[in-house]
Amino acid sequence: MALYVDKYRPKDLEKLDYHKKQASWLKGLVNGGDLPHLLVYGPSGAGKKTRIMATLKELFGSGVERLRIEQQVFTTQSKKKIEIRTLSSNYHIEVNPSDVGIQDRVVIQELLKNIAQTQNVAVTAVQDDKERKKAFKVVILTEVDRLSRDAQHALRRTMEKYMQSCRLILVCNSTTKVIPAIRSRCLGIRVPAPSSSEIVGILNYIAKKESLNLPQELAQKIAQSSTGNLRKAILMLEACRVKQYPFSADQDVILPDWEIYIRDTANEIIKEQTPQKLFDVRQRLYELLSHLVPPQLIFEELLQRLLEKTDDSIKGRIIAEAALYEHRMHLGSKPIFHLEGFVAKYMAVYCEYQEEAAAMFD
Amino acid sequence: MAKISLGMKRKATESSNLERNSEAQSWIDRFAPQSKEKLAVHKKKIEEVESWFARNLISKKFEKGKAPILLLVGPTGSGKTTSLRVVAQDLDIHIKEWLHPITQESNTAQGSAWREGGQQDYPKESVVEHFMDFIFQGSRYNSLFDNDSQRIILLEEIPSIFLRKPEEFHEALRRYQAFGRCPLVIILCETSSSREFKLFPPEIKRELQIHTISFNPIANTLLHKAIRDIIIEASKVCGKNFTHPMDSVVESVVQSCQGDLRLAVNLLEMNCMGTAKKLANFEKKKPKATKKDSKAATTGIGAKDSSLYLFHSLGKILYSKREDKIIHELPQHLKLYERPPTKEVPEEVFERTCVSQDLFTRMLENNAVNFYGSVKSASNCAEFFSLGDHVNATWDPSGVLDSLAISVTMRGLMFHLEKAKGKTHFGTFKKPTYDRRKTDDLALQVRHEFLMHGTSTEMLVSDILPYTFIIRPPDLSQGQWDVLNQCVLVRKSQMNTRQIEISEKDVFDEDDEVRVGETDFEAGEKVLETVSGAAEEFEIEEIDFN
Repeated sequence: MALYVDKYRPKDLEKLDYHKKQASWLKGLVNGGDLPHLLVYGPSGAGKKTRIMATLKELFGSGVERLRIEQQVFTTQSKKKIEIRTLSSNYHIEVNPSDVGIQDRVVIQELLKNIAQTQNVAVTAVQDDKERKKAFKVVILTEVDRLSRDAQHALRRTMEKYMQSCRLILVCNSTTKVIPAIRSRCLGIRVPAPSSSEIVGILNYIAKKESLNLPQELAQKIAQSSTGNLRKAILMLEACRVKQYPFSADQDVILPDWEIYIRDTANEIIKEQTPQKLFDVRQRLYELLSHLVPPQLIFEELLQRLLEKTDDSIKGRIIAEAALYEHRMHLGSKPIFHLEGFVAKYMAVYCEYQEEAAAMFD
Repeated sequence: MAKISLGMKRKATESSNLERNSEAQSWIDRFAPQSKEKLAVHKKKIEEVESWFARNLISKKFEKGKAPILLLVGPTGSGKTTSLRVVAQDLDIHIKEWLHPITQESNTAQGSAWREGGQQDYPKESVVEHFMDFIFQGSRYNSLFDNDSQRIILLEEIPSIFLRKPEEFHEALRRYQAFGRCPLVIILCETSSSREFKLFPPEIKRELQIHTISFNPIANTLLHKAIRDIIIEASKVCGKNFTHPMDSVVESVVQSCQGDLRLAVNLLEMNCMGTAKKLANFEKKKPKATKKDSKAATTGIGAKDSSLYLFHSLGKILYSKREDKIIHELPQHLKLYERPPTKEVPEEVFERTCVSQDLFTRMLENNAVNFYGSVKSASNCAEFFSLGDHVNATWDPSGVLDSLAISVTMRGLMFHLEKAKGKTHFGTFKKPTYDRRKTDDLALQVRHEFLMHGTSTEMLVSDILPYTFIIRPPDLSQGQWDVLNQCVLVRKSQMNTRQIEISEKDVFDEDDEVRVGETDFEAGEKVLETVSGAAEEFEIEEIDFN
């Protein structure tokens, strides 16, 4: 399906719309025909993947765009079979080890071993000396920040061992959850989110290509509500077109269902602070979790929505509490406990604040 | 064969010839109660048993084809058998008891089966037949030796074969009801509820009009009285060997046996007779020992297996009952945190529950909400769930933290729970509805269907899927649509909010949960298989992104 997102994805480093300096720098990096391990990080929808693919194309040529899905099977020591699907070309393979949960260590070890031990035939067949230097395969690991500790340590060892025949590109949103040992072994590349005006520019470009008449107000509005997530902005544009075309300047931007749901939840919390309400909110949180919305995202969104309606005097305290619970959530294993803990805390603090405010008036 | 000897001894005691067999018997038989007044069972229960006999036996009112069946259930040592015997003796009723044949018959039967070459089912048949013969003939024919015109058949050991095939047992009961000539009394020791449920499901009870009397563990006051009586009697009879037990010993015996009279008497005998001098000394050594200490001391020598049902232990934690008096006074600025000591030690409760930490915390968390009195206490309690989970996840090679996590959760919870005023919560506990496995399966499905569009679930769920759902591109496969429908519409979907209640005696079988999970997983795998079939096709035709 050709969504705008895929259709207008730049394929070459030259064609990237923003962070041009970084692009030329990346070009210089691969000019020598080699590549260090990379750790690409930045917020969602900033264009990490686009840059990686463009870099790989620069390195290997258009062959990297011929993708296929493969099913790989690994066996753990306890004879349990793990299946994982990968996306690969002749030159690279992309895999998300966190798909297999706590078994990610096995995937990392086995997968990398398999890849590293087989020579890259497509490249070695070429006689050119310069090409020969590229006799390595690239492994893209996504969501590295969700890897278990075990897996990260396994990764660090494997990185050194198989440096000869494969390069790793690690992708994540934030490096804070990547162990320092890995960070120091990679070249870090930060891809910041595009600015609002950059997003507007891209939206206009797409509208022109699709010969749509896009009012500037709407473009601004989309850029605003996408919060620097270009992918989301482009998807919003397309969703708006499906909902109503020709566009009108005051058209509503469509938000994903879960966002609206969290907004409603935040309103519920503001409306009433009782144990019974806490119970209802928890049901709602469960609902979100069982619809796969990542707890991290729920947490952030909920905090944002709550802060919008919170008095400045207690904002600091709320944020501090949120940070504490969020931290625990990452370390713990049951996100719901921490989400609920935060909601309860918010209720208590909010209640206290209201009582104080009422007392002041009296 | 223990039963036979026990029965014989009882007869011996009936002749009240205590001196003759004083050394050979255990106290249980020597001091078995001889009259209704001496029974440590609650009066109401005895009356219930008596009135049942009065209705069904004395008046002989039951018509043909309707032999009455009585079922006595209760924990061990709650006096089921003893009450029955005493009452029967009172009313001059003869008891015929089924004893499981472990004798030569079955041995030779097995032997012959060997010889005949693998007719393995023969011994099994013999037990069942034997059993049937017993209950029918027993009810029909008088004994040659006794005048037992009034008799009942007592069934205390149910052949184990029936546990595997309860239908056969039900059939036997039906036939007994049709042809039996005298009442049948079945005594079932309540180890776990599943046995009673299996052998006597409600529909069978209704069909055969089985009257059930359930015995409770003997109350501590009655237990005290019974033990004192025994001590007095024993001091008269035993003479030199007898050492009079300290009050603390009696107290600890009562505490540690949890309403099991048989166990209590056994413990008492061990404590009082010469052989257990050491133990008595041990107790004497620390006269200041608190109640808890002596409890711990006697628990060592064979106290009752004190496992709890999940239902009860949840209650113990969530109601968190406290003593009346505050023991440790706190200084003024800490008055806020002053609480009387709890009646239960949370770690003990958890240990006695026999479920995993994970399940127990989830159950607690799911049900604690109903106990929060105010938002403040709610937030304090919720904080401890969060902290507990945090502690639990901290990896620690020495394993010290493992047990600490649940401890943190429970103690924090018990400390901060405030009862809602004027609101009583009725005892229903519910199972958590969130099924992580299901969610994981869905996540995997999402990833498989939309692999081409992104490799992280977060990215897919947060924006690609919701917008794809709105944009409705024409070339989505059926599988992709299914996934979209399942995970995009958060608002419209009604999660299965019907929570399953757990009942008082639910034995929580975590294997069960796992098994359910596994079948889910298998189903998931089947889906995967079909998907992977499709993927193989994919592999042949390479997808060009240009």
